[in-house]
Parts: sequence; C-alpha cells; structure tokens
Amino acid sequence: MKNKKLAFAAVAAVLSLSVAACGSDDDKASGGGDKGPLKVALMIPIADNPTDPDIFVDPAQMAVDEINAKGGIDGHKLELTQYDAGFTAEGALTAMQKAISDDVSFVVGLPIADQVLAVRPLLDRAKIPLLYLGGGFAAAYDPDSKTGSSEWSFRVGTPSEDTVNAGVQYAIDKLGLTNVGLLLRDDAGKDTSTQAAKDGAEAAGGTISEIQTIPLNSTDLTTQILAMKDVDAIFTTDFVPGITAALKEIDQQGMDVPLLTGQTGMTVYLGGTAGDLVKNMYSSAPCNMFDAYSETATKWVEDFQAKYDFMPDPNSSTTYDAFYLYKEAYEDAGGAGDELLKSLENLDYEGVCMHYKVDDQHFMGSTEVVEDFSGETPKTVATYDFSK
Amino acid sequence: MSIFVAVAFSGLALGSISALVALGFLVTYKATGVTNFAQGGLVTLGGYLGFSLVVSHGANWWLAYPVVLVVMFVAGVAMERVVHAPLRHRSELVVVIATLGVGLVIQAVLYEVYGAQARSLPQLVNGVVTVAGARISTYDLLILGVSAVAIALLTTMFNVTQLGRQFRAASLDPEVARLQGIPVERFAMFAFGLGGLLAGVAGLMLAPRAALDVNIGFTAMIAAFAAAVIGGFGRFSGVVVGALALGLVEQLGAQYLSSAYKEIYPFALMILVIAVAPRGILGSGSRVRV
Repeated sequence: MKNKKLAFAAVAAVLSLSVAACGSDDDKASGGGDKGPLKVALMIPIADNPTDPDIFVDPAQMAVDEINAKGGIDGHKLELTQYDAGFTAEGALTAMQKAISDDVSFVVGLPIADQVLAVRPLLDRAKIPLLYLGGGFAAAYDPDSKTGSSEWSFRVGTPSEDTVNAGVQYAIDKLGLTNVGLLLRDDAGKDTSTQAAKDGAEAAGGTISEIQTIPLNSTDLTTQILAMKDVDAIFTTDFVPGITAALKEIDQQGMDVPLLTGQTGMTVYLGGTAGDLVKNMYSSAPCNMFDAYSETATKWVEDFQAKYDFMPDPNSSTTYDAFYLYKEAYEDAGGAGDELLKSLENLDYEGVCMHYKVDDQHFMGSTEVVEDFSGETPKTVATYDFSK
Repeated sequence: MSIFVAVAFSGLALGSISALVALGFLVTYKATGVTNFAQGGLVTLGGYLGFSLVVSHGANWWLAYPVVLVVMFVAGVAMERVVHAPLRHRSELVVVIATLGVGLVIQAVLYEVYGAQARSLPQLVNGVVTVAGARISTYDLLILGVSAVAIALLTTMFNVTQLGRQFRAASLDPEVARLQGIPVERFAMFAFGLGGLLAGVAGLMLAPRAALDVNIGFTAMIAAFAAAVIGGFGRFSGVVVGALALGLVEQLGAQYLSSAYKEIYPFALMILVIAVAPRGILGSGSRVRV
C-alpha cells in the first residue's frame, strides 16, 4: 500500500513537472510570462566583409536602444547579439545553429541568397523569423515548392533583380539610351541579373546588346569596356573596385556613356574612390538617404549622422527598419508562434527606407529609386514600383 | 588596330607590376632558397602606407613615396629576422609556410587598421596620349617607365657592383662565400629587404589603378608567382619576359577569345611553359645567373 502511494506521488510529480515545462515553453514563445528579454541575432559577415560591418551594426544598435527606451516590444526588452555568418552557406548554418541554441527570438541579417536557403530547415524547426537583408528571387519563398526559403524568411526590401531592372529601364525610358551593355560580376546572381536586365529593357523598349563578365578580384576592365564601344549606356552589378575601374576606363577611352550601378554606387560616391567621375554614374537602390522619401526618413538620417558620424546607406536603413517591422508584427500578433507568422505576412508599414508591404514570396518591399550623382548631393530622379 | 594597341599597353602595364613582384620573389629565392609568399601582403602594405601618408596625412608624393620605400625595405628585413633567421636550419617548406602566415597576418592587421572599405590612392599623372589611334593612359606609361628604371637599377646592381658580385657568390655557394669573408646571413636580410622594397613599388603603382583594398596584393602575388615560374626562377630577364608575357596573354586573351576566362589564360600559359620548358623561358639550373 505504501509502495502504491509512493508510486502515485512520483507519477503526480512527473506530470506536474511536465505541465510546468510546457507552460514555460509557451511563456518563452510569447517572450516570457515575466516579460523577459527578447534575444535578437544580427547575423552578418564580420571578418572578410568587403564593406564596413558598422553599416549594419550601428543601425541595429540604434533601433534596439530606441525600442528599449520606449519599453521594449510588448514590454520585452531587446538583447542584441552579433553572429559572424561570413559569406557562405556553411557560415550561415553555423551561426544560425549557435543563435538558436542561444534562444534568440528573431534574426536580422544574411545578405546572400545561398545562406537564406541553407538555413531553411533550422528556421522551419525553430519557427523563428529571419528578416534577411540581401538576395533576390533565388531566396524567394514558394509555398508550393520544397525549394526556396523557409516560410519564416522575409526579405527586408526588394529582390536584387529589381535593382537591375530599374536601372536598365531608367537608362532607356528616361535617358533615351536604348542600347544597353551589361557588365556583370562573375557570381551566382549573374544569370538572374541578366534576365532582369532583359526584362527591364523589354519593358522600356530597348535592348541589351552586349554582355561582359568581370572576374572576381579583377582590377583592369580595359577589354570589357572596349567591347562596349557601341552601346549607349552600361549597367554593372560589380562592387566598389569594379565600379571604380569601370568609371576610370570609360573616362580613359573617351566614351560618352553613363554607368548605371546597383546600390553600391552610393558606396563609391561616399568613399570617393572615383572622384568626380561619379558625375557620370547613376545608381538604383531601395532608397536614397540624401533625398529621403519622407520627413520621418529625413529626420532619421540626421539623427543617425549625429550619432554615428557617417552617412547611412540603404543597408543601414533596411537593417533599422527590420527591428521595427518585427516589433509591429509581434505586437499585432500578441506574441510569437503561428500568429506572428501571419502578422508578418500581412505587414503594411512605413519605414525609413520605404513603404513595406509583404507579397506572397515574402518580399517586404517593391520600390526602387534611381539616383543621379551629377549634382552637389545624390538626387532621386525616378522611382519604379514592382508591386504585383 | 587601335583596340589591339590599347589592350596591349594595358597588358604591359599589368605585366610590369607583376614583374616587380616577381623580381622580389626571385631576389629572395636566390639568396635563401625560399619563396616568400608574404609578397602579396607586402604589396598591399605598400599601397596602404602610400594612402596613409598621401591621403590621410596630406603629404606630397615626392616626400611620401621614398618614405614608403624605406619602410618597406625595413619591413622586409624585419621579416627575415622574424621568419627566416630562426628557421634557417629547418626545411624550406617550413619557412615558406611561415612566410605565407606572415602575409595573412599583414592582411589581417591592415583590415583591422583600415577596415574593409575600398580606398583611393590618387594617380601621380592623369590624362591620355594617343598611340596608333588608341587612347593610352599616361599613368600606364608611368608604370612602364618606373618598372623599367627599377629593373635596370636592379640588374645593374647585381651585374656591375661589388655588392652584386658578392650576392651572386653567396647564392652560388654559401659555405665557400663565408670562407671568403662574405657575410652570407646579411645578404639574406638584404634580399628580403629588397623584396619588400620591390613590393612597395608595386603596391604604390597598383593601388591607384583601381581601388585599394586588402586583397589587392594577393591577386598580384599569384600572377607574379606564375611569371616567376614561366621565367624559370633563374634570370631576371626571364622573369621580366614572363611577367610581360603574362600581362599580354591575359589582356589579349580577354579581348580576342573571351573575357569570362580572363584569369585562366595566364595559368594556362604557365602550364604550357612548364610542359614544354620545365626550367622556364630563360631559366637555368643554377640559382646564380642574373
């Protein structure tokens, strides 16, 4: 009899502990019944980053500090931790595994499509959102496919292909330059960028008449630029060294053609690597911090510059917006879990970079602006809306 | 014709820079038997030192550049003291790996100090000249001129001066050279210092051509190593011819075959030369011939 009582007591204890554990998991999902902190992972390349990691770190910290100063997200303070994901899928996997084991509530970062795809299984299991900052259609979410990114992945901005599309369209329909050459960085996005350029040319009534590739780490573009002698405009997807070399070579060859770039053109302008040659450059980007699209955005740029002493670029503004996008969705859902996912998918939010509205591929933005560098400061000269 | 001329001059300019780096390899190899894989890091260091003095501190180039070259010579000597001298009696492979490590350390330190963003070092001259209808950058012509002078001075030093004769003797047979009273160990320091100086010249010439970042020297080093192999790691003339050939093949191949495989052409040439002439274009079995 005594043994039976002991056995019942043991079973009751085990059951009680189980219920308590389940209860604390629910609390954790909602951020803690006692309003404990929400841990957020900033997952970016830190070592070996060709750009300064501070363009991501500083706006992230700014957003976290602001949100915490106003009481946090639904009463939960944010705790920000950086994870170095590098530029590889393996790096992203390692960083994400570490972040999940550290119990993060959401992740901001990962600039490469391959990384976003690689972490899909981890996100699906952990059911935490990833607000990723780079990549194009390769990282899109497709509910009808087993490929593609996790349903928990959301791109803070437009797909990178829209950047190419906008630049090519601008050259043709606004500058009247119908014959466009492509100077493509030799990377995984080359083919989709080519298709996006062709789509943009077709939409605007022009043609892509020459395509050249820039090998990685190349410092000389003589042959590529000479091949573009007969085009009216050149669009390049390369980064700072390639854009600088292209501007110098175009000038050296006496070619009267503008160079159109992605958002890295702003980095070339800010870094001064091409001097006055940037006056011959246009750049397409999610937003223009020198000519912000709203008073709120203009104010944010001033505050950011005052605090961090450098001009933010679109990466900075989308990083900052990511935290407020999560805040908006979390507070609307009342916590984490499937309701949070639905809330993210239905977001409609005015950020500092752009207006965010999520589409069925989980791209949160749909506009690209084109910037002209011929004046005293970069001016927005066109806006393209790719919303479906 | 004008396109051929434009592309050829561009190839010769790039080849000249490779020649400077490759001669740095050769000088060090002749003196010590070691291939110094820190040359890439030293090229980058030279570029950043030039940026620091000219851009960050506003110094005139005619004052800044000689200072950079002196610092680079000292850096090369310091490298010999730290990496080569203590490992002198170990296998050459160990020393080579150590030099590779030093190159990576230099790159990491530069990243920490200057950050990841690309920088700009102004060209000493701007503008173009027209040659056979082709627009040639005057800066590329300057690169050719500076490289030619550097190579001429180096060759003269090794062939005409007593220092050069002693260096050659020490390279041929260190033991006999010591018996003759030649300070063999000091020549190792001198060789590393000279390699550093040549890397500095290459860095100062290369950086203004595009944008300066921490990877700029690595790319130059790989091309220079291929040039040294093509030249045979023997004669200076072989290395110079190899480097110029490399630059021409890269640019002309990109122009007339496909730009997508631009980076492959020099190494295809290297493999071809090794297959046909394993000792290089003008190489020999001896380490002493200059």
